[in-house]
Amino acid sequence: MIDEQNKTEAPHLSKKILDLIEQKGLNPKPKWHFFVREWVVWGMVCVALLIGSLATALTIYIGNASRFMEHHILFSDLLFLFRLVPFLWLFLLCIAIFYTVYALRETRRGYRWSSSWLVALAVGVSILIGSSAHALGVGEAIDRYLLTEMPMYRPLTNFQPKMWMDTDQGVIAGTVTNVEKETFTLQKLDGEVLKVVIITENDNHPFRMPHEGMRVRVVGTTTIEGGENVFKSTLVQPFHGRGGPLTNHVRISQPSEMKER
Amino acid sequence: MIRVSTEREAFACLVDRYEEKLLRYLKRIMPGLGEEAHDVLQEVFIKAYVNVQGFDTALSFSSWIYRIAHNEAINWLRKKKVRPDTVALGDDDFQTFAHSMEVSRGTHEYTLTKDAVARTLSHMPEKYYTVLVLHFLEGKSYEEISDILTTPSGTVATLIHRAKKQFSSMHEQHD
Repeated sequence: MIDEQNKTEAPHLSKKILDLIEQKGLNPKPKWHFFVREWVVWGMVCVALLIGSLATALTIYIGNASRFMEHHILFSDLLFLFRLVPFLWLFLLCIAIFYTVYALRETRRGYRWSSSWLVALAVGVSILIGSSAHALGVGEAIDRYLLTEMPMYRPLTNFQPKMWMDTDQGVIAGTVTNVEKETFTLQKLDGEVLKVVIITENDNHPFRMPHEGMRVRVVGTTTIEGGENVFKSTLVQPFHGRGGPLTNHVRISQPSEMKER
Repeated sequence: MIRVSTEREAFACLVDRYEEKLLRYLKRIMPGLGEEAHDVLQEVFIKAYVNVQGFDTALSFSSWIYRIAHNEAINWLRKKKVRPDTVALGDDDFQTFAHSMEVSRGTHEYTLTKDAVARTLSHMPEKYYTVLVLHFLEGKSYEEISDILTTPSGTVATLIHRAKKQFSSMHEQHD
């Protein structure tokens, strides 16, 4: 019964619609309208992926810079360790991934992909590009710029250069100024000069002796020998401290080169 | 002018071809709404005309225009804040649906089957009811439903599976 009724009305609807189109002066939207929309959406996807990649690069960089501390504080200060996690950049990474998935769904055929596949794609691309950016020093450059130009950024990422100057904590950093047989002089980041003795029986040293001008971080304990403060080191490593000018950062050679020394 | 006239004539052919199918579909997902379905159908064709340059040739035209029809129906229902009335199943629809859902007919366990099926469908969530209508009554494949509802085909399969399960359990409760 419904079909018969429809058949009676069928010849009139197309005419009615054409009359309505004529009356309202309607025209099809031009092709470029849809073309531009699609490109805008893909542009949003690219911007979101770029932000995700940068957030990944910074997460890797700050995570690596902090990793030394986690090994040597040995979980004695979990709150301190917790604060070393780059939450700001992880949060931005999550936002970027969410937005990438949302924008991909808005593309012409994006609805055909499942959410889990889109999330995996967004995460994968962010990690791939972010890792490459980190290897090129992009994360470090951005972190250094923000630490220098935006003071409000420092507390957000728990930037604490002082943690490298605390001999009581057993972790110091600075520039090697003088090298002797099993000792070297270290000018700490705060300018204080300290004699460092390398304990030879310890196998943790990736290389035996740093060279003058090298920036290092040192783990050990403070003792007094012959009336002077001496730092007995159990570990010496190249130092890629965060903050650039704020910690007077100077580029040093890679660990593999130092191992050959 | 000639080109515009030709385009409009071509469009008129499309209207004639899809009018009956779309009206039937709209009345299925907006049961109990008589004349309003015609208004919505009119809007569907207007929208199709205005957006015809946005038609993705990777889709079938049928899926594309069904998508417009579905979206217009949902928008209309949300605008009017109306929940679809009790589903009225024609005999053909009932037989098609019952056969697909493997519901027994005419036995002592299912004496009011047609009404019970209609009642059960009326109480189902919109997302389950829609996929059941598209798959079993409109005869659309999972890929076509995916294109109509802009949902991954895996999700469509899951929705149909869950819709059938829910229909069975609700139908048993009503009985």
